[in-house]
Amino acid sequence: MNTTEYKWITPFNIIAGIILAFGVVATVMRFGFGLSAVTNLDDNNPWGIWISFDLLCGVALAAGGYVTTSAIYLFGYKKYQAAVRPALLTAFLGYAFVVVALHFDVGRPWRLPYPLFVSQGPTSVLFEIGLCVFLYLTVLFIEFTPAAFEWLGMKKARNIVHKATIALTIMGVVLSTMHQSSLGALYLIVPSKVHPLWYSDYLPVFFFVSSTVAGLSMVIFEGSISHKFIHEKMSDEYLGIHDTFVFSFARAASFVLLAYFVIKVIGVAADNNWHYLATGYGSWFLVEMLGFVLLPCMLYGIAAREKNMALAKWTSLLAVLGIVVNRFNVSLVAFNYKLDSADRYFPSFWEIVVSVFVVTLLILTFRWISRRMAIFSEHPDFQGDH
Amino acid sequence: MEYYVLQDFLTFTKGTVYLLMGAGLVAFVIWWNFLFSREPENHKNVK
Amino acid sequence: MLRRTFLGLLGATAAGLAAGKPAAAAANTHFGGYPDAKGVLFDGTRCIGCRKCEGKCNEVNELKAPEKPFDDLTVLDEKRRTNQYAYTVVNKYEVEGAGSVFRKIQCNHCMEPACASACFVSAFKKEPSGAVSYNESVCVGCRYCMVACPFYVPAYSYDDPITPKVIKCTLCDPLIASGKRTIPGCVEACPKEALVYGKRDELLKIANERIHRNPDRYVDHIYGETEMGGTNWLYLSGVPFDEIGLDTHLGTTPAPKFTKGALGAVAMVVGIWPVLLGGIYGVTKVTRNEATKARMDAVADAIATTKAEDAATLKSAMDKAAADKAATVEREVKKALAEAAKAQEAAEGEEG
Ligand code: SF4
Ligand code: SF4
Ligand code: SF4
Repeated sequence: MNTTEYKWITPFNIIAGIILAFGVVATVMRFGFGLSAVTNLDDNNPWGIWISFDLLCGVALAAGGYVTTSAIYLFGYKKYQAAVRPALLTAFLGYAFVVVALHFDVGRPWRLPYPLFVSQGPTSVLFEIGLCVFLYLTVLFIEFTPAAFEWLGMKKARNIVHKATIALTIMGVVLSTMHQSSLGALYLIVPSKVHPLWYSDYLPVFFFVSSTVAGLSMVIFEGSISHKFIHEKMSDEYLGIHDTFVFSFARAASFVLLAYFVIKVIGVAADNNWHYLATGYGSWFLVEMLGFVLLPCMLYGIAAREKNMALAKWTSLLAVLGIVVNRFNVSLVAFNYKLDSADRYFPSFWEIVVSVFVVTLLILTFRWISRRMAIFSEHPDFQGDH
Repeated sequence: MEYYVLQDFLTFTKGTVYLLMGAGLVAFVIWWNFLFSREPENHKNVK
Repeated sequence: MLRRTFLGLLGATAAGLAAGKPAAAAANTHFGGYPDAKGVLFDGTRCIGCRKCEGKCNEVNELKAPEKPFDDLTVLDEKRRTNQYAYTVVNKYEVEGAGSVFRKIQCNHCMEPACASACFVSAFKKEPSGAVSYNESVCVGCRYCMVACPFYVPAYSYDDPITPKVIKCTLCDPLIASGKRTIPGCVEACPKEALVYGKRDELLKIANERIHRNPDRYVDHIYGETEMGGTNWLYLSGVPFDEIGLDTHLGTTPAPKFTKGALGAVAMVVGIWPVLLGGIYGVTKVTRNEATKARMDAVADAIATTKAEDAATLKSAMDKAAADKAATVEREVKKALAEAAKAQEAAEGEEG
């Protein structure tokens, strides 16, 4: 890549360019004319896909950071060291762009620091999430700085951060546990608005457990995509461990999915919601449970046993989709289920544009960084220094 | 300070708990270092 | 102003501690609400759907005039909710056996407001007067309060790009506090006395009395007495409450209790996770160190064995050589040395 001239006109760049252009238009409309100019939000439906997708899914899918660092630094999978940086970068950018997306959603984005610094609302679940996301973004940033310091040649700074690895990792897991579960806890306050099949006292537990599945799956999924497109930047070490690493994560994801399935069924039993299974919502609940929880659980298991790389990768896509389906179900499908269909929410074109725009920005940033810094490889000056 | 409203009471107690959480995290780090600082070899990762 | 924030409460408690007073009530204390809190009683059997309350509310709060004037009753044909230009609306319900029944809705000024529990900047506050106030100057516009309100009350000015805000009935509290009014606008405007303003305790007495005196006229329930922990706006009705658009499945649990447990668990995560994770890290590290040590010992052993074997091979080769020709001796020794080197290399390779 460094030797040949970089080609600007590629199908990827053209599509990205178009999305960016639309995104800029949407941004101008949003901040120039208010939320009503671009969204279908109304008084009954204050939260749309910018919360469902950008916040709920975004944070869940960025769980790869804490899942990978804890597996490698805490649970003894040191041999997969080479997988840390891609996961950290994905997580950091994921959170950073969640915050970017929130600037679109809240009414007065310049006040986003208020809950921390001006007027605290400690009884709010959202306060807890805001605090954790702020702190975790800082932790992820510090965890990631070694790559940037190496790139900039700042050895001392890099070694200082390197020493704090374990403390940072533990901090990351603590904060992740807190806010991943709290995203589910957001809906605890409205038992009357969320369909009983999706409402449960266990919502925070469900969100936390499924976030680890999301994290594991995203690492596999994102790894296979990067494999295709940034292959030339990957070290032999990364490529060498990649296969066994994927199977370890697939096995872990499979096991966690089984646990997730079990606790979800317990959730139904705890509130005696069995009779709802025979309704329309019930069928959709079963689709989620069987098609997006039990099925990926089986497929991951088979893939890990049979060492079937293609199956593992496709399953990771299915599992990621399953998390998205779940978050949409809780926050949109099951939310406001008592309202007339005319009062229900459906995203507008521009809302989708903004969400796609933010994801595109994330991908472009990821590509930019991973082509410059030592992400999929070790920096020559620091080889073997873990 | 007497409370008539649960919400106010919780605002106070939860706020206090947040401050204690922060203090707890700092305490963990300091104590961990104290516990292991006499055995430097335990701190090194054996390659 | 400071009182509404956590730090304000902290300061007040510190002052209380210094004075030797009990700092805060225990967790199992019953919070009965402010003793003098006021509210409004709405009597659905008296309401005639004239929309005068809507008009007066619009006037006293200086809201934008609607397209259709307030004496246009065709508006009632549609089910409406509160919005940024209407703090209150009256809806018409056709109920079998009772004909047209009307019901006014506005913020219910909950005793334990869900909106206040949900707001991450504490913009809402239950005031001693009974009103739930909203402080625009800190509101970020996350709209979690709107998600949280079980009565679908707060509205938002989505079309305002610079100063959007949450909008809801104030119980006319600012106007009453500043002496501009003595009772809420809507209460004053009602020609049928379907609305009564007063202390919540007394309103409950009035309501109970009305039910007691006319048991046939009323459903035997005061909506708002216990719903979501109780509200300061109370409702009487002659028809079942769910037929006039009031959710009868809200239960009696005050909203802050729904999230109390989860937030409490979060604190436990902070308290316990570091120890648990630190422990796991310690265990895997010890295991790893022992494994490394065992591997190194094995490598050392292997090298020692190989060396001994080398010597043996060399010796036997020498012995053989004594009985053989000199050239053969040389060849055999060379071969043995090469083998030894190889074995050593292999042993070292294992080690790395
Ligand atoms: S009715 Fe809704 S907006 Fe009004 S105090 Fe209760 S929760 Fe808050
Ligand atoms: S929209 Fe404003 S008042 Fe409502 S919860 Fe968010 S910050 Fe609080
Ligand atoms: S109490 Fe005041 S603000 Fe509330 S509905 Fe009546 S007139 Fe409007």
